[in-house]
Amino acid sequence: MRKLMLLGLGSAVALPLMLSALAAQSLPGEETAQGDVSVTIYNNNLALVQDIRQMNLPAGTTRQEFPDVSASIRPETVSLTGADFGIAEQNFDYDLLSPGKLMEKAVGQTVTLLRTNTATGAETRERAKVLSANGGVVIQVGDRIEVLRDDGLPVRVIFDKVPPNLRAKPTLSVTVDSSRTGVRPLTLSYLTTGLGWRADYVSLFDEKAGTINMQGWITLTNSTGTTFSAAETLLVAGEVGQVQQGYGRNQYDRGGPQPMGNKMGTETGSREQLGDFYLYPIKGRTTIANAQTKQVSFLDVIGAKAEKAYEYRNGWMGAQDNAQSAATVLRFSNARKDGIGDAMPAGTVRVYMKDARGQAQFIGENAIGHTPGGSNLALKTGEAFDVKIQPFVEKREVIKSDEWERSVRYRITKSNGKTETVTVDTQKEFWRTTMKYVVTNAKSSAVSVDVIQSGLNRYWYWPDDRVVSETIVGEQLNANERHWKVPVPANGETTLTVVFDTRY
Amino acid sequence: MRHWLALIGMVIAAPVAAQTIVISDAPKTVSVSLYRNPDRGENDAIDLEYLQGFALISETREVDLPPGKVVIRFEGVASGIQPETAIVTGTDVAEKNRDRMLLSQRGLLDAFTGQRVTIKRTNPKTGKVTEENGTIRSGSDRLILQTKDGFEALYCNYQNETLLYPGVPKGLTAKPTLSVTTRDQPGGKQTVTLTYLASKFDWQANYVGELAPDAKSMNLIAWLTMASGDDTSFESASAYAIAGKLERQERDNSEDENSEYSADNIEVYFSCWPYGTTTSNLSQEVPVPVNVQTLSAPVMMKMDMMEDAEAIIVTASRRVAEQEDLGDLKLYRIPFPVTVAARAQKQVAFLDKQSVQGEMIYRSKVSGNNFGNVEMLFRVQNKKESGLGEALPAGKIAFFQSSAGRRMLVGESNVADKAVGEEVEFSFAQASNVSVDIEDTGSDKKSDSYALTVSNANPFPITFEAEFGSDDYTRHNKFTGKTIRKKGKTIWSVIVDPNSDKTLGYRETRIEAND
Repeated sequence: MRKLMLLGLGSAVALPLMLSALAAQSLPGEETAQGDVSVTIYNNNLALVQDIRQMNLPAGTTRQEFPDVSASIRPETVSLTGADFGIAEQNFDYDLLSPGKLMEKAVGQTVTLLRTNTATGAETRERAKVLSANGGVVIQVGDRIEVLRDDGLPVRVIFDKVPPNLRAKPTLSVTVDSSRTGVRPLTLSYLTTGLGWRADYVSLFDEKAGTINMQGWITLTNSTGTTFSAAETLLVAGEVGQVQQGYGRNQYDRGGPQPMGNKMGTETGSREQLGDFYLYPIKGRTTIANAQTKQVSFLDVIGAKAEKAYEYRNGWMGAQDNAQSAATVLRFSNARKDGIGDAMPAGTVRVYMKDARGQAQFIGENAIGHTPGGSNLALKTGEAFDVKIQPFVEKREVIKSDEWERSVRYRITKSNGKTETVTVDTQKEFWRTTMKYVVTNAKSSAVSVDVIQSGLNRYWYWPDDRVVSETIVGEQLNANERHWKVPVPANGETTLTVVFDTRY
Repeated sequence: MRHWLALIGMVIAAPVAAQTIVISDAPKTVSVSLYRNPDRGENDAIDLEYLQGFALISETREVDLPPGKVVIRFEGVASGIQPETAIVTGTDVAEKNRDRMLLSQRGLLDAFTGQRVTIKRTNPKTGKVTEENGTIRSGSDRLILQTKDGFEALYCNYQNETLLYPGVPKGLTAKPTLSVTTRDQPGGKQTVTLTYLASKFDWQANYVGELAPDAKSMNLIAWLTMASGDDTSFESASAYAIAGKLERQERDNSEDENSEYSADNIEVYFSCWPYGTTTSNLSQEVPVPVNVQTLSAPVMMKMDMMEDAEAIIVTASRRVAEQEDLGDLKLYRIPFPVTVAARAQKQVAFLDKQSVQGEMIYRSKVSGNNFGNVEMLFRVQNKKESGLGEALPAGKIAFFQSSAGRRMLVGESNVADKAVGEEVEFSFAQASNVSVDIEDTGSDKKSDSYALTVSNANPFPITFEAEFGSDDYTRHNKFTGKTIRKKGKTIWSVIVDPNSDKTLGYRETRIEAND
């Protein structure tokens, strides 16, 4: 039917539907008891909601209900402020009305049973007393005791009332003492879980030009069970409060060693700050619907500098039967001089590249933590098909060095009572390991591969490792790691040979 | 129907007054790039029931926009869309939304909680219909209605009862839909490109090797096997497969999975009061009779059709996909438009090489007096000179050989991603006519001596290789035959005549003993 309509209008061009201000039907989904709502959302599944409602409070003590608060509210954090009233009591009722609860609460009370005769269709009503609801419901009708629906026949059970504290939804109520009658703004504020945000970055990498175009999107999710209507929304990049003791890692920490070239920066970003945290306000008011994922743009940079690198990290004496692909690493900086010039909230960076016909294709993604301005980032996007490395142990032998070390010292008391110190020196023995790293390149252009050998300072008792020879001059990154830049010609192969002396 | 959808669309616009909804119900052109599940090893087959790869889908859509701020709703996107990855170009996008609140029984009950609805009852005997007004007093999984008589748990009665609602609540959509809000824009006909990642796709390479009778060459055909587990079919798509390993992050889709509106949770299960009787032990969880067409209906229909669609379609033409470099990955471009059908698998050739030169090797891996099974492998240098010289994406290979006029399967193997120039070994079977034995021939304080004998019971000569590995504290030396060093290993390569054997003596020496 829809196709026909479209054909009738000639072409698959979609119709603009100018339905802007249709007369509002009184259907659920748009009316809310919320007032002027503002929401501050933190990264760690936490949000502060402030809801200013115009409420008419009568003088004296009354109980006020606040529907449409977050269903994931943390009730202990509720605060209610306003003029000319005091708070006697705050309640958060989360005992929910259900058939089971209703029957349990009806024990000892009388309900109406409405039975339909299956032969005639005639309805009969009778009153019954609920005696118990354990596994089955035992009722008393007149002077007979029976189990409800034991006969399997349909029967309607009609309860006279529901207990007052059983509710359809969790409900917040506050008992207030008001000194006067009248409408006034009441500010309700609370913390809730179920609202969160993260950043998603789209970066289009142009390898030839050495640039990336970077778009940043804030991705907001709402699983509170409640829609926040026309809310003023502020996002805080950082994890507040809820300090986790110990050595806990946060969700954006990437396990294991990171590629070379990551360095946190010292530039202050252009955003508004709250103490240590950057703030990302969303322009205008926005409705954050329940079960919605919403994305709002916050960063759009064209032509920031970026480069590609290859890296392979080998464990101590790591040998491979087959050549392994080197990691493809994208390096860029968010420093002002390189184009991005802003802090980057934690999230996922997705990298795209254009294929031979200009179609953008996905080439990998990685996570970043909260990244201050001026940082250098090196993200592994994948593994190179054509750039491979095969490390193996070519030779192991034990050698005696020219060095001696003192291994024993005695104090001897001679028969004449004099003491003398005797020392024994032994020649230092080293294990000499010859490692070879065969780096191959099936690409039609030359590449440079960063090879890192780790495990050089594995244990406290392994203090004096040394590099005897290397076919390419390396650089010691730290006590544990040594790095070589291995140039590999197009469609070629380079072998790096390194001889290590270690004590064990 | 159109009007009805428009009404739903309204909801998105509701927060900001006077916004226009434009519905784009199908793409004009679409391209689908398939990515292999990065965590699936080359020897694991595609699991059609649980596809863990993904696809990049790029759709161009034509829309006619009025000027100003406009909401564009993109319908018919992949059901596995990862909304956080969506990129929209061609119009100035301020905001993207993905709503999961689906028009469903749960959606209706949730929306009408606290509202008035109509209860319709049908007398089972007389068929007489009575209607009564009531108010929903509880959440969707615990339905309690208030009527003029009192309170009732509607679906615990086992009566012919159903609820009638006065209309479709605002905020519920028929299917998961991505919508964008533009900034102020001039309007007019525009081509908008929507690009996103979607789960539930996968692909792999499948190779078929026809070994020549002398086993010195093979004909190699390779197929791209592409699978979609999505509910949406993409007609006449430009299709690509991307080879190589990409880095991907574990996706936090908890809001998808935990949502009451996810496919797994959306069906309403209704809890009743205790149902135990004196004669039975009925379950207390009763599925509510469905009286609303939920989203899952089209999904289920598709699943029913899946049986037919799952049949593997092998394109008759041997038109070979074109390969190009995409950064450090390999991209295969299918040279003709294909339909990436919902829940189906498809194969397109990407390699067809005649007479690829290689050699048949029998090999055993040796360390000390331990040796591995004798494996049969076909070794190829992946170079132009050998008749190959092509990137080989990871996948399975089946070897066939004609023997006495019959085509026989001789073995199966798998291959990891192999670049041009690499040596490729297809280890496809365990030998049964070639065996190895190792005997102790003596020892001193720093070494043990052994003799390895390889026996060939075949009526033809074979090439045998013993591969000596080493551990950190021993080495193999004093070989009595000619050996070569290859990537840290010592190899004894020997031709063993039909029905004969060959022996190699060697030592395993402990390094700390200093020789």
